[in-house]
Amino acid sequence: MAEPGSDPDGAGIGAGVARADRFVVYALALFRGLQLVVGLVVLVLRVDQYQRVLLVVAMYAATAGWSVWLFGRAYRRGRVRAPDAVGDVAVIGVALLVVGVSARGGEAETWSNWAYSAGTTTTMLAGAVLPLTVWLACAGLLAAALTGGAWPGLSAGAASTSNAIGNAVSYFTLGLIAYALARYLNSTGRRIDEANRRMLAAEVARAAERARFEDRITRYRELHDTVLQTLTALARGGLDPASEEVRARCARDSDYVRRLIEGDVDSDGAGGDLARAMEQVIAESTAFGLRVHYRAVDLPSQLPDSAVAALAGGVREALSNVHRHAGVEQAWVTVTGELGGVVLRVVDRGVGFDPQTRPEGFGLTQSIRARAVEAGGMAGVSSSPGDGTIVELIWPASLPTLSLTGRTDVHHGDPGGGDRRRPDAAGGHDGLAGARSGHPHDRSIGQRRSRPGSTPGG
Amino acid sequence: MILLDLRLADGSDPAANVSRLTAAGYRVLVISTHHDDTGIVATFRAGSHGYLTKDHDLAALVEAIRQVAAGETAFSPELAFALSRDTEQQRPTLSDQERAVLVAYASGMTLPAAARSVGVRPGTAKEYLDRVKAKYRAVGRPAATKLDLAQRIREDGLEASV
Repeated sequence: MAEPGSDPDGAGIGAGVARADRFVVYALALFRGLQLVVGLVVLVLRVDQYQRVLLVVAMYAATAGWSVWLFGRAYRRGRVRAPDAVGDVAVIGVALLVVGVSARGGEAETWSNWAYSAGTTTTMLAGAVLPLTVWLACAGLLAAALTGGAWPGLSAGAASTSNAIGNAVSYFTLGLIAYALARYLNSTGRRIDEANRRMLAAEVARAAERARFEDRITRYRELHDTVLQTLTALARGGLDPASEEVRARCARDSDYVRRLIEGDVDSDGAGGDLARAMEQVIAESTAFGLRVHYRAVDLPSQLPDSAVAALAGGVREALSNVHRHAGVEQAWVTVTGELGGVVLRVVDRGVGFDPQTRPEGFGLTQSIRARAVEAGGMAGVSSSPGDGTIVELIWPASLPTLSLTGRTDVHHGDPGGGDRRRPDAAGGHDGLAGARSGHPHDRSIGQRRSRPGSTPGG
Repeated sequence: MILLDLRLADGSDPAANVSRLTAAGYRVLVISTHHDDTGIVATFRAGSHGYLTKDHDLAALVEAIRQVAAGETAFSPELAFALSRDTEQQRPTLSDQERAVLVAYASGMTLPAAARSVGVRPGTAKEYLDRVKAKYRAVGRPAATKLDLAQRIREDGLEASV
């Protein structure tokens, strides 16, 4: 209301301002409605005071109809628009003239002139909605129409001049009051909106701060359990810093600090649940003595919980396999986000195995494959004796990406990437599930169907 | 040869450091405490002969130094990882096979395992890595004169036909 013409639909205005606007609509609608009811009663009871009854009744009907339309529209919009307020001035102005000249004697300047009372709503509406100067012109027009309509009675001396002056002045005073009131309500609404906005922002900031705090506490605890313990033990003396065991522990601890730094640098704290779950898995593996070279970039922040659980669980199982079977103490875990999906690879440089002769075990079938497939992903494994093992998890299963474990039925659009064209020479080394199921070409341990004509490897 | 830390205390640009050293005739092995993919790619393009994080054991460092001194490239998984995630506008176009070897090697596989995974012989996989290096060199080489530019186009043309 403070800025008539701007933002006509009230969209984007805060709740406080919208409520102020709505209040003005309700109050004036109530006012106009009561005036019209009283006006109707007076019209019926004292119909004899009019010379052209039919014209006055028609004018009344027109005014009532217009009022219903005007406030109906304002109700739907939540506010009165400036053109509608000007329209009301025109309608009521005509009514003032028509009813005034139709009234006998001095009745035009009394409360039995229903058009006069309707005019009070009009000037308030204009005062509330229009800029000051426009409202002033409108109030002047209304006063002129009232006086013009009553002129015959006034010039004949039937109407009271002081009544006429008082009525005309009331259009100005009432409008001015409405002008001030509406602006006051509006600025209060704006202040409430501003306060709400600030409160919301403060709440969001507080929640973020709380999350950061909890994160920090977790970090501190981890730092205490790793780096601080090691440094304290070294400082106390009695530990041989050159010993293999101490050096391995220092290496693990510095890996942790490195991950800590890169987690903040790489992902800005983003990466969501998968990043946290992976952090947990890596920390666990580190705890049982495995040195994990962990890289994670561009992790998708929005992953279904089931996918996060299946992927992190798969990596946990794969790392546990490295620890138990690979005969090495190092593993590489890379997690890369691609096109809204994610690829996880767990690699060791250990003894490996021949999938042809040793298809069972390794927790792969259940823990890794079944869970990945259930969550909408796929898992693959590739190994050969003496060459280490790679376990690959891809989510979703349809992600168009490079597969290092022999997925052959999905072409990918990775920029700069390419589908793997595998010569027959490489067959026979990988494909655990393939070996299990007796279909050597079905190398992926995710349940993917090979496209007819896709390269058979085994 | 020079062992150069990616981040120097004076805050100087790592790629510029590498350019100056290689221009002076040194071979540069870049090392850093933690991974900085952008810095790794930039220094590799600027002519470094390898990259290694400091978390490797002494044997790995010695091997890398030996490789660089012998004129080879110390292609660490970290370097391969950074290159495989390169999204720069001026990155060279890699063939499918080159990219597959790069990604496999970046995931921590040994070169023989990466070769097996992609379905090529280890020697071929090493060739692919060399080619990746050559392509990055070509992109990073400044074309100061029209003659240089012509030379570059000619070389790149040759490279594409390899």
